Amino acid sequence: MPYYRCLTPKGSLDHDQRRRIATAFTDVHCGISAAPRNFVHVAFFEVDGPGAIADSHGSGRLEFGTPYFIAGGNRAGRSPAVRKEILNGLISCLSEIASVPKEDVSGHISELPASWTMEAGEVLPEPGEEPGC
Amino acid sequence: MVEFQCTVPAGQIPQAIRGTLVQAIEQACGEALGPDLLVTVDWIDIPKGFGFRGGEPSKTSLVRGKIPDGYDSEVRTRLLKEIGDAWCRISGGRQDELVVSARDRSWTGAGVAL
Repeated sequence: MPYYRCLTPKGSLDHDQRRRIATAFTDVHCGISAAPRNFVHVAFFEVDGPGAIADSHGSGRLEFGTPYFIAGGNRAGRSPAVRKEILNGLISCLSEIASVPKEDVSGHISELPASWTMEAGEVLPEPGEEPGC
Repeated sequence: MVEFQCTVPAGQIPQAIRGTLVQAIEQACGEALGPDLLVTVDWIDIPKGFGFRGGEPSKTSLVRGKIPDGYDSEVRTRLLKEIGDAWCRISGGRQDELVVSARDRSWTGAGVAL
């Protein structure tokens, strides 16, 4: 399952912005990966400033120095170029909808083998083996 | 050591049943992975309006864990299914509103950053 956590300054986004960002993230992810839309999870966390957050798909912590940070986690199997394309798309969406410069947004995407996750009672398929969007 | 983190929509999982869910996770770990493993479970509540799935408000709980390295896929799948079944039985939730994962403790995530 794609899981994108958006770390944002306290009070910086209203509900409509969060909803639009979540929809835009879903569009970006499904547009590039062909995963079903309901696979895409987005959660927002308000933070005091730059810091670190535990990696949802790895063992370490992700440090960030920008006011806005996207901590993403996906199924393994995509090329680094595709992962960068997804992340760049997410950063652009967040920057545009939050009305902040892209320089204020950074991100990281980690990966897990699909078979390490169960969704709707079934172990996930590898990327490219799922039904279309 | 086994660490699980349950990220749930606020109000979805009452405090009254969280202890039972923790016990179920501990029991599933003991049965699938073996006895004598320390299991910890943390909770994160996502406020209304802060969690989405497919661009819509999310009702889905994410139960994500780190387990010791070395278990084969059969054991991992058994663990995921036992936790999923117990979670739905105790909470009354549906399987399609639940994601369960268990990654190796040493897994780095092979990340990409921008």
